[in-house]
Amino acid sequence: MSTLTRKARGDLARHRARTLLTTFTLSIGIASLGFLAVPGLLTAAMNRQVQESHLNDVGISTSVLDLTPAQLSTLGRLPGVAAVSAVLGYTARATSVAGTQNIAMVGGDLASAPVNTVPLLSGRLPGPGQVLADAANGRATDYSIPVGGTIRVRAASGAIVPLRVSGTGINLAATPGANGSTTPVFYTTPATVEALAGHRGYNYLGFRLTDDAPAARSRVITEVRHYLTAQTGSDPITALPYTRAAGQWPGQSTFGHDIALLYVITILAFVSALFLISATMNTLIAEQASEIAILKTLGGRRRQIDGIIARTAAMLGAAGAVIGTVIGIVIAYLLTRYFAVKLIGVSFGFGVSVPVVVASLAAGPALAVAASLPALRRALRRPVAETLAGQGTSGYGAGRLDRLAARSGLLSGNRLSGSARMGVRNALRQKRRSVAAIAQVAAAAGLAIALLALGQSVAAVISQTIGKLHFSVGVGVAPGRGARPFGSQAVAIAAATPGVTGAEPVETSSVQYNGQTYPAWGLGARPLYSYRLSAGRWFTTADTSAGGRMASPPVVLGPAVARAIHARVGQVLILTVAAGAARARVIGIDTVPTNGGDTVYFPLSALERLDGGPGTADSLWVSTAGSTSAAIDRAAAAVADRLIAAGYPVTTTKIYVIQAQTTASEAALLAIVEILGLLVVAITLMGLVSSLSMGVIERTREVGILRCLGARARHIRRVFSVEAVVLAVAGWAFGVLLGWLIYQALLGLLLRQAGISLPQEFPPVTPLITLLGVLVLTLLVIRGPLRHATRIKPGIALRYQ
Amino acid sequence: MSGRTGALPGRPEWSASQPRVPARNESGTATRTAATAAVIGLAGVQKTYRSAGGRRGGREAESRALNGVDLAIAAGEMVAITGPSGSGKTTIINLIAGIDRPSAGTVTVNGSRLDRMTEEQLAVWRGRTIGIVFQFFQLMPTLTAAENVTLPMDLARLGAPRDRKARAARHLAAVGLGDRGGRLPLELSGGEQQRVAIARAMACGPPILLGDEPTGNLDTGIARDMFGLLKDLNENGTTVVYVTHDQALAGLASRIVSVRDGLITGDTGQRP
Repeated sequence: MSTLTRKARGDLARHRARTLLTTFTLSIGIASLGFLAVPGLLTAAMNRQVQESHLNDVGISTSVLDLTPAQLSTLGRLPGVAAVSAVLGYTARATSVAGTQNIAMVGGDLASAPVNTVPLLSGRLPGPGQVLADAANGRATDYSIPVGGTIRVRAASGAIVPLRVSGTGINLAATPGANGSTTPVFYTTPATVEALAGHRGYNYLGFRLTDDAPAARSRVITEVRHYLTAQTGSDPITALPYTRAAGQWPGQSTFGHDIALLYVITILAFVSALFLISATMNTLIAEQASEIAILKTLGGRRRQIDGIIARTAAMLGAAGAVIGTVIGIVIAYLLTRYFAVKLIGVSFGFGVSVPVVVASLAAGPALAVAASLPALRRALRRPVAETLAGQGTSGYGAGRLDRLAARSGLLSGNRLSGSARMGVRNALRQKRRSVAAIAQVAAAAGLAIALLALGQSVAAVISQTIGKLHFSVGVGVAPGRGARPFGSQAVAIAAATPGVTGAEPVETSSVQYNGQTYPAWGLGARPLYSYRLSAGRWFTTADTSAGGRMASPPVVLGPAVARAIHARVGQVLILTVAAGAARARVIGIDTVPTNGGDTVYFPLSALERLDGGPGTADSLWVSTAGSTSAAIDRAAAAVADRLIAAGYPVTTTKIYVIQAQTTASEAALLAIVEILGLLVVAITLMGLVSSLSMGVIERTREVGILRCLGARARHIRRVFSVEAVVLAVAGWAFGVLLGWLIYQALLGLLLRQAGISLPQEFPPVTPLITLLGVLVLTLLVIRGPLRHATRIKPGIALRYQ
Repeated sequence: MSGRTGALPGRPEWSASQPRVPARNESGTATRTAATAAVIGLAGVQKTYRSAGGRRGGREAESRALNGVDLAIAAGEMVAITGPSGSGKTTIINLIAGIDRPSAGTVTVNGSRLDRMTEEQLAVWRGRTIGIVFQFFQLMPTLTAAENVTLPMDLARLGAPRDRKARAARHLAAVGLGDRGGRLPLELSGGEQQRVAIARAMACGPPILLGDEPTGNLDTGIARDMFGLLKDLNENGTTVVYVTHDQALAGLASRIVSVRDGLITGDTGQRP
């Protein structure tokens, strides 16, 4: 080993505390790179899940079709089809220990299905009178039934059928978690569903294709439509077919929104970490300034001195990289597991992202060396005599700011004690390090402020969307044979129910434009919905009465879809609906972000005609006299009972339940973001602790002198804690501005990436709450360095080099 | 700044309860003052330093700084401790100041057994009893000259804050820096910094002043001026003990104690 390398190693061994602190600081910075592994790990896990569950590439909803095995076999041999599975879906009301809720039943081959397999996660596959609960029911819908529990399902005949939960499973195509649904899902045998629905057959076909190109998918859909039409005499497809592009998986768009936020936080974390690494290396170099000067007097050339410092930095960086990579692997695993289990509901085994690991291992030494270069350049440029004469002085006082702080204002009077005054001025001593600490606190405070404001915006948008719906109960047509759309008779029955003040028929469907699918609502001229237009007008009575006959019916676009397609009032759109292509004329643009702003509103009669109507309204919006949940529950039950008795199989959805579930899911998103934000805060606090610890180490001799002058432990603590508070408050002040900027960036990102428009909500109390948090956290994390400072023995301190 | 700068202020009024002792021992003998009358007493003191093991992480290394020292210094004496580098001079000063603890033996200063005091108690005791002047000044770099002098009074809470400022101004004037109170240490010369250090050491009116090579970092002329200040303090009743390797400066003290290899090898006692 050369002398120079031995010197580099010796330097590290000489100051163990500083070496350990620097290494740990570097490792925290490197660990933040672990965030970047999450998208890749989750995508790999989901792709594995897609493979294992044979997720369909095309899913087609139909009216109930009593297909024979031969017909199913023929469907499976259509050009481009690799496999097909058919299931019977049935929506019903169910009662259990978890409450009364609409549930979705799926009857199929479950574990042996060639498409949309339902693997068993616990318990046993269901036999007669049994069901498998979807593993995500509890988390996604708050309707958890334990294995062995019972649900009582209302059959189409009106009978209540008890079904025992035999186990849990998950089907990516149907699971509520991944698909953003709030309806619990239960899997069972076809016979069980047929008995509940009162008829045989299938109403959902899942296809895996040999070629998943968009053109191939369209061809398969056309082939299936032709075959089924030929077999049944009419087009049985009841909704826009579901298509899944290669590499896509359910829940990906939701995760995509979260990933955008994750990347923002990762960038902030990494920038904070860079500040941390830079400040740490600056301090290291500054402490070796006199040694560098001595090396120059001994004839050391610049390249040789560079080499020593680079070796030291590289060793520190390598140690920090190894520790940081391990921490990053753990962070990535825990985060990915959280997303997989909590958001989507699938299991996730341990995984490592090799590219991120390699990048982390390489980044440590590289960043440490790069961060040390500016300080090294400064140290090499300083004249030797000036450096060697620097003993006993710290350089404080050379700048105008130092002299101003010493001789004027608050810091020069009697209002502060000596130790407090020292603490405040110490913040100006190592200016670069103080700036780095302030920058890190600003990043954390800014992120906290931005996330708090984002939470306020999310809460506001919930009230702005659900608050615009002026009905309490949504009544839907229960699928299955015997299902009847809601005509005037159904509206009259609902409106006449005690506790009900009004009922409006609504058609809900979906349309495609430029390959994107958007929800479509068919409403009246005066709907139970408070639209707020930014351009154009809403439907008139003439539009709603003549819409069924118009060649180009009028539409009003939601804000996100209008932005996405750059729509303007008067524009004619060519939409794809269940029946094929259709023209529509834009007459207005809404600003309310219903369905994320993606809704396309039609006059009811127009959408009914496009969906094969008239008279195909599949929903009733019912307003109630009472606003309490009990009054709404009573009215909903009464409406359902009356409609069922009149031959309308129905399901009911209560708006207050939707609001609670939406709030909960948004809260979950914010919780994720806040947890990630906490990691940034942790990096920041590590920076503050590191900065203070370095300060204590550097000023060990000074602490000894203070002890010689009669300073007690509380005086020593006051010096350092005042410095920490000054840095924290300065960081918070910059953080308020930074937080506003981050908040604006997050709003813009959500709008551009996800089409989600959130209102501006930045109350003044948010920065104040953050200030309190910053101060409390600062005083908590500096306890360690303070304890160390007060335990310094003066005899050892005065000998400290 | 050259030459002596005039009389230093007398002891502060709140130190009047401290016993005043004669500046010189009337007997004029060269022997040690009786231990019972000593304001500083080291008895059988040993000090061993332990440092971390060698390159390959071996056992701790021990170095014996003092091998059994007995020393008694009477109140009002001016004692120079001399000896070659590594002889244990600074260790003696540190033990007297309570900065280090003896490995064996006892250290009694101004009636207090230092080995029985906690670090907190030592810090408080030092603030009132000991003034220390270091070779490299060791001023607080972020405080002005006046604030450095005020600092010990702040720590000991002596008097009202306004009074502390006034006292600090008087101390600075006494060392010839009355107009430099607002300067930061970086704005002062070496000699000026050491003057501030002396003013700081006397801020609380301690009965004992210790100096560890107090003039070691100054040129000859300034060193003599500095020594003159120490002499003035001694003549006003302060016990002064200082370490120096400069034999000429050592000769200006009333008593010279020589140290070598951790033992006292010579003690001139008191000069008539």
